[in-house]
Amino acid sequence: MTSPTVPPALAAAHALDPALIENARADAERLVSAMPRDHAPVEEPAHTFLADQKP
Amino acid sequence: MSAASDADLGFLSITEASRMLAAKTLSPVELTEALLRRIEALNPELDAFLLVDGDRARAAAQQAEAAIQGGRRLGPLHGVPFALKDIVDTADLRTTCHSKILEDNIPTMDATVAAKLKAAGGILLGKTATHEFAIGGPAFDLPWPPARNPWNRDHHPGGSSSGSGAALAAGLAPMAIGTDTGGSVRNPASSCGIVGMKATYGRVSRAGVFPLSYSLDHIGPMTRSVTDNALMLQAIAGYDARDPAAAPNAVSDYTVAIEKGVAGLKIGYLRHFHETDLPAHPDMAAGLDAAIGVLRAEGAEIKDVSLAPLKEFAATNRVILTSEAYAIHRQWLADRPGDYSKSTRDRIVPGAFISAAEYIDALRQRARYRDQFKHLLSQVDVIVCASSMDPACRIDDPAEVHRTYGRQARTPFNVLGVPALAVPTGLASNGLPLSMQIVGRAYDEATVYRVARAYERAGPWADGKRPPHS
Repeated sequence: MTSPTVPPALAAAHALDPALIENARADAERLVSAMPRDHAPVEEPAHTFLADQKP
Repeated sequence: MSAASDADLGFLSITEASRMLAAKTLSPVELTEALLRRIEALNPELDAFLLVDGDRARAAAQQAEAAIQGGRRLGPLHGVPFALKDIVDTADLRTTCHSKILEDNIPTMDATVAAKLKAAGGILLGKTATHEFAIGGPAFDLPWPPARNPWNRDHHPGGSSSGSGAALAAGLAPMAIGTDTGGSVRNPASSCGIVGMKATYGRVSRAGVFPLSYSLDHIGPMTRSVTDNALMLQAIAGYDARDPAAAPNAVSDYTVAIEKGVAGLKIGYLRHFHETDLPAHPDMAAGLDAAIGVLRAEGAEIKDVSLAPLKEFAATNRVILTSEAYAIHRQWLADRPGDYSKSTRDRIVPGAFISAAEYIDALRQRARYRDQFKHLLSQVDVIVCASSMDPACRIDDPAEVHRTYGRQARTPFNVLGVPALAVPTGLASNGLPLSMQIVGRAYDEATVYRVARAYERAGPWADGKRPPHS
């Protein structure tokens, strides 16, 4: 899922806080692993915007 | 004119103020001046406001007074002051998102929600403190300090709409706007002992409000009473062509049935959130059980119900939120990372490490939850559950802020996009507010308010409460 290197877009942030990238990767992995991921191929996402759906 | 003290005027409800303003026993100028004096006296210890716009507030109050005196009263909010979270654009008035990134930002146009409150005759007092860009925690490495909790200023007022919550609890404004992406209206409402509504997604326009997560962001009214909250939502709800997600549905009348009580209504009690998923502080759990007892005594039928575990909902919310937030902030994070607080960087950067497929999975999961919730709400009219699992923690204890950050049950209703209202249920043994949530079907805010009002009338907060710092 993740690259072992610092993404170029985050180089300046990494220079400021060397723990940021490692912690962010760990947080992302923790979040993704806590979410069910057994979706069937045909399962579609919910519309991003619910407002189309009338009650 | 009124002989009330500034403190009494500070704690007037919208309903009471509106009645007095209509009867001309109180003037908008008198009310506005009293609140400006209270802000001047109390804001140095609470830091609820980042910016106070006294001159324009006085001018607007004079205009409102002339209109009311001239028989041109616009409605219940005419002459009533309000505050806006400082991520809501205000024309010709600094809007910083509590960040160095935007410390000189002066929008040219009001956000729709600001324009609607002004069109209803509301008087803007100023802009309230927020967590940076509505996501960083209470931070001390920003140009302005974080807001404090009026119940105990050593404690967190909740966030991210922290200044709005503190201002209301301290009697500095009778209504304020907050925003809610993972609970940021309802958290300060719960921490400060006030009422906060996250209405149905798309019900209140987001136009002109700085985004945190496009598909989870909600704008919400914050007040000290349920009826006030309904009056405020009435003024800000509705379709807006400036917001691509604005709901086209007609706006209900939120107060017409608000006093009808709960006899005959079915209320689902969602216990597992606070009993097993994230065991709550005993005072919070006792407050919830007592509230259910009040609703049962008022005639509601109570039924235990369940949803997916909180941990799954929270992860789904955060995967969507951090992905979208990183997309919004990535250029500034690349160019100006030092202009963010550390806590904001810590919370947004994980979005850089979530893949597109993982983000899509979160949206698929949202579809499952939506179907599960629709089925549940075909059996009951509303559900009641915890909001926060703990009373507000100390603001100067980063470990405790971090520990309690996720100990809440608000994120499910951002994922679902359904209305959720936080209401106070009493005080904990340490004197800090307790709370619960009432959650309804999409676009059925009216039933949520009806249940909340029945509880408010009969519950321990019926006479209102004033915190020590007010």
